[in-house]
Amino acid sequence: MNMVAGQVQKSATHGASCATQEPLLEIRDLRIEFRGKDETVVAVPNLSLSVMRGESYGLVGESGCGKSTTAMAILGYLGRTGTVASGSIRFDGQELVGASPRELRQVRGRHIAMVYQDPMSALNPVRPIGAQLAEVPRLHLDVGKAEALEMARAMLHDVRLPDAGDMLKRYPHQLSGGQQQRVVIAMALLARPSLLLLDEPTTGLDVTVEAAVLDLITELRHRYQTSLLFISHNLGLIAESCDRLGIMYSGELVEEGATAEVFRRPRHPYTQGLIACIPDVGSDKHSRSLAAIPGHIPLPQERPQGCLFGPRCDDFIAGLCDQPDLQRDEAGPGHLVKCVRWREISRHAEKPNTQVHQSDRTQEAIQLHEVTKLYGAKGGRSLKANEAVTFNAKEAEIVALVGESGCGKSTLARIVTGLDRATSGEIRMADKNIAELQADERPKQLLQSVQMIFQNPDSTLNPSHSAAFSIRRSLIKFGLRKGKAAVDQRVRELLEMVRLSPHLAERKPDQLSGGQKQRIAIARAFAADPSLIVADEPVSALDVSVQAAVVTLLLDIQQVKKTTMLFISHDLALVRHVADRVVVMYLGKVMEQGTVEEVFSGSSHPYTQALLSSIRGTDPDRPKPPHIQLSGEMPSPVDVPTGCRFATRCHRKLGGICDQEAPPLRRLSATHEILCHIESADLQVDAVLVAAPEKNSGEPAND
Amino acid sequence: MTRFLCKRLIMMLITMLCASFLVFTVCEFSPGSVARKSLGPFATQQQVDLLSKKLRATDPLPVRYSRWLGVLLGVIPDPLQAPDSGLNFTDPRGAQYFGNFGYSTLNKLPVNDVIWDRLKNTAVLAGLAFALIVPLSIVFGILSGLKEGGALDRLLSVICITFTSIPEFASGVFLVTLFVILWPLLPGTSQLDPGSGWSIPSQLVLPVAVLVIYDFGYVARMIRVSMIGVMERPFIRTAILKGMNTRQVIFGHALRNAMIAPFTVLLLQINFLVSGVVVTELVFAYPGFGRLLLDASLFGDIATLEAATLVTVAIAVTTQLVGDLGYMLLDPRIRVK
Amino acid sequence: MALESTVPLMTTAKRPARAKWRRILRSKTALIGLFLVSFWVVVAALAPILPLQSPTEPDVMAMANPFPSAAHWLGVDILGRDILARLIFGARTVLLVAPLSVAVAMAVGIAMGMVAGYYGGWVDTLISRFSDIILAFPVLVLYVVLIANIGPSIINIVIATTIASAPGIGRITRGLVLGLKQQEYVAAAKLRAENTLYIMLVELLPNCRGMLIVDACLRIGYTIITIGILGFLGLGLPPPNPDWGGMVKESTTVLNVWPFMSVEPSIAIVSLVLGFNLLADGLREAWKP
Repeated sequence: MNMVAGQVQKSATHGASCATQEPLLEIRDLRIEFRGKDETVVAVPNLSLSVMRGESYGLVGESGCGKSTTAMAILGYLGRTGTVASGSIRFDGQELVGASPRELRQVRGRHIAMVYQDPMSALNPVRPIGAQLAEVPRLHLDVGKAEALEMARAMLHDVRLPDAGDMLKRYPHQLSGGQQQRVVIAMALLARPSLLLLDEPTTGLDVTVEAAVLDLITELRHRYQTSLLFISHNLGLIAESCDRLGIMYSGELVEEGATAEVFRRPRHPYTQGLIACIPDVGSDKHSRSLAAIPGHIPLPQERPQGCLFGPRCDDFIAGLCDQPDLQRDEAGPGHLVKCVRWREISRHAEKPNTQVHQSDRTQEAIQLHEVTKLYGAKGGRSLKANEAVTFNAKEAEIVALVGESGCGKSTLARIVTGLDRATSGEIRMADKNIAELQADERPKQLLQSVQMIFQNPDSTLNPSHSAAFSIRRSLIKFGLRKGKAAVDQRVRELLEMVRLSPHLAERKPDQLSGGQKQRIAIARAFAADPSLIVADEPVSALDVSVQAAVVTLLLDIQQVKKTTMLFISHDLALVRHVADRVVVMYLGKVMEQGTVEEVFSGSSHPYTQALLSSIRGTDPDRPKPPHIQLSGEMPSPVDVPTGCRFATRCHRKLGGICDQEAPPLRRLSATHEILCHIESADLQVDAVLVAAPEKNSGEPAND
Repeated sequence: MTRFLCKRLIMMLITMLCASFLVFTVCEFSPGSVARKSLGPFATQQQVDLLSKKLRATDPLPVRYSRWLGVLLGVIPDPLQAPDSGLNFTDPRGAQYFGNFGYSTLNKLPVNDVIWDRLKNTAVLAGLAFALIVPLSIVFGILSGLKEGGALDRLLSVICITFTSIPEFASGVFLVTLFVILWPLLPGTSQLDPGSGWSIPSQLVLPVAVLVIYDFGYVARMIRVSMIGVMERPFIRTAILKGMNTRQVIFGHALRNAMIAPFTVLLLQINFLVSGVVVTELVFAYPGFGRLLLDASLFGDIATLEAATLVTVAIAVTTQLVGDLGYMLLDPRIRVK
Repeated sequence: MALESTVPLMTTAKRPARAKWRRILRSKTALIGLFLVSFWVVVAALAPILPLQSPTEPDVMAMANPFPSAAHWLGVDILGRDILARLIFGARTVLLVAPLSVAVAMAVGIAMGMVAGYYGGWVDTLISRFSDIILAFPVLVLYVVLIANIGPSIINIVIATTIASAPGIGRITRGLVLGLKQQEYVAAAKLRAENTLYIMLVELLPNCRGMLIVDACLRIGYTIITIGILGFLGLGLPPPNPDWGGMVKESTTVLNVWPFMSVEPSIAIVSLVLGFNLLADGLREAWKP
């Protein structure tokens, strides 16, 4: 049936019992260099870690810290210029550094296997899945073709893919992202390796799909007794999936220990900073602001002497922290920290956000009514990108649009800004209906009042022009400043507003980091002085600490300018932090809308509940809700199910009525609406997600 | 699929029609009239005018084009072959039949007696060249692309780029100088005359060599680029990290992906070989299709020129179609349901 | 308006500047190509002031022994004209006509491709079908038919090149534009009321530069070959301009006794085309992201 809610056991018990055994994987003093034509880059200067048998070890860090490089080094796949300059990697007693190609081939796929970040590109597009899967047992287990295919079929069944026999003949592009990743996992586990390397296996997957894949990994890992080296930038994910973890910074391990211990008592300032960056479901922007770590991750050639985090650390003491050859200290059983001052450093109390105040907002800034967007598809059918979307946003309010891929939030964003035209419906702004007005049809004033911040920092700025070029154009086109001097002055002011040094204006985009480019995008959007800004996943492509800085910046600016914002995101914890009101979309329809407290409380739409249950937090002491697993795949927007759109996957489906009749709109309060057949009173589930902000007044410094 | 094929066939026909119409229009600018060319330079102006009137050569262009089309389709008889034109142009097949390309004023023969033989000769040349270009370019391309920037890649790339810079007449000159004059191993002309003292195969060596030298470098470079692109793709990493050795990775994963784009390029070489051989044929006095086209152009023999163009364009659109079909076969992502 | 923000100021960029043009210097291939091309350009430009024999006046005395000698470094051709001078003066024509033709073809082709790629729909279908028809013509046939009928002259060669090359250039541009128009900075431009012409010329075109310059170099090389072929077929530019292809053609009759008369202009053509091909290849390598 549809109710597949499983209680997944935490695997905390495994790690402890293996302390006396030989580690399965032992990396000692690893140094990885990339030797180019003119320069040598030290990607990883000195790394030591071990993974015990049967345990899952999380390697956490932001981009460029060397975690993926380490994984590649384990498998001996560093490319032509990469080399292990010194150190050792012992796997099951065998030394992998300097192993012959033949020895490496015997290990790869058989004893150590890998799961990749982007499953679509990890699979060969022109060969059927069955053939690709069957290669593994034929290579390593010496079986014939028929038997290999049979093993593949059994494995596909284990990863819970339906129609395993049929799946064998299909090609990768015919599968969804989640299905492809299951295939990659199946391929990795076919030869029953003892160690599985996972490099960001769920980045890029939808939230509910991610939850399902993670549960699958945990289940299979226990069944096959496989050790995991889980690489990710997502602390919350690691917190819930791994027994131990290691935090990497610029090629070094700065802290390591049992997951619960590290999160309860983080010792290294970087770890503390990272944890403070992450929004959590219990608090919002009124109670806390996401801490931003000043500076940026040093490039390999900029590494300072001594503590690599020193230049960014508030507790840095010259003469002490910049001594070479820092050793790792033991802050607890199995808890290692690379910090000289860990005993003195207290976890910084989180400053409550004094700036944000509830203003009485009564003016409606924008009203959407029955906005529908249909695309013509083959065979006379239509693709329902949006259907009857209705919600409002008050002035200076932040309304979040939440949903997974295919829910239509990006299409809606394009319609509101005029990049696309609605098929029907109304969008009222300043007494005008702009739903069917495209950008080139809108009067300049209207265009000026609705601006957009885009998702991808790499394509938001034209690589052939200077960074501030588009800001200047905006000022000129809207007549906001006349004359070069005035325009330059304004550009300087705007850059200052987004906390960028003015000389960065003349740089080309490829010289700027992702966070810097996104700040320029923000400056560009605010340059026109708009009354409404549509922010389409503005921070999804950024590192955790950079996300925090950019989000805080955006909130600060929005506060002062009182701009209305439509904030689109798939990251629910972020939405909890940022939004005043939330609109939940699924397959083109609004499933629920309400204030952020209402939506994040227990009584919400079943889909919202599934989304909320997939949020992973870093607080080990917070009670975890049972993971709701949705069955099936999201239907295609061309073939929208009759009745309730969510019925095919709903874990609280009432029965036939959900398939046949469209659900009614229920008002749970003046501001809270839900589209569901379930009676309002029955919606309440165990209140697992707290609505009111928690008092995070800082924990005791030294334990 | 049938809908797709039908649409393509219609497109092909339209293309051929437009191409032949374009040629017809361009030939309008050529000096001299059909009548003059048919009668030769020694006929009087009066005779020319009389014939012109008979041929209705002063009719507007679209009318004359449709008349040519009508003759081709066998709907009307060729006016040049009318017995009362006094030209003595006779075609053993009759004056009205499907596929009547008309009368060649240059060769004083029905076009159909002229072009098919020449096409056959060129086909031999093109076929041999193609048979060599395919394996050479694939081998060069794949070996270069395997390790980009490696020593082998650099060597092979230099060879390819250099050879693509040598036009056919230049390589013809070089090869003839080497193998005919300095070391007399091969014949200097290839008139396909069995009585010339050189065997037919030996007469083919140099022309084929010239074609291959010029063309294979270009295709090899395309394959190289495709191969490099494929070797950088993540699924190659997946294959390697599954424990496969280089040979297994290439044959199991890289090759088929790398050949998708170059497949069309290879087929397009057929077009080049069929018509671009004119220079080679000129250098070696080879009685081929390209020379026919050239001579017809220079003389203004519209009938032959039209026929040759139509044949060339037909071959071009056919190879395009075959290329697209092959593309769909190789790449499951773009199969038409 | 001062903003009180807890977010710290960022002052350093990620990477230092590295000019696109400086990267060329790191590619040996590009440098060799550049050298070959520059050699001919300089020589051709300086031709009038170099101490050369006449390229058109025959030296009857030298015809008895046309081989290379002190008076004629590369020998004389069958009519007694100094080959070195003819090569250098021939370079002037080639280096004028080929780049000019390609420039015009580029302008037309880029315009076609931009319009087709940006607007899509029936405009795209129309332009693409039209291009397909022209591309179905084997290039040489096109040239021969055109030149044979409208006569050889610089303008006609430019026209013929444009007709033959523009569709291919258009196809490349169209492919680039199809990808580029999805970029977010294009959407940002639309949101500030930029018109279509601006978007095409200022936002899209600069990002096509790299690929189009490489293609232009290759096409110049190919056009030089084509001009050579036309000369070889007797369709070259009428005298007095010495025509490298024509020089080869005139000397094939005496190939068995005086091969150098054909070999020397052939080497000249090959060296110039090789220069452009190497330059194109080196640029492609240097500009790879």
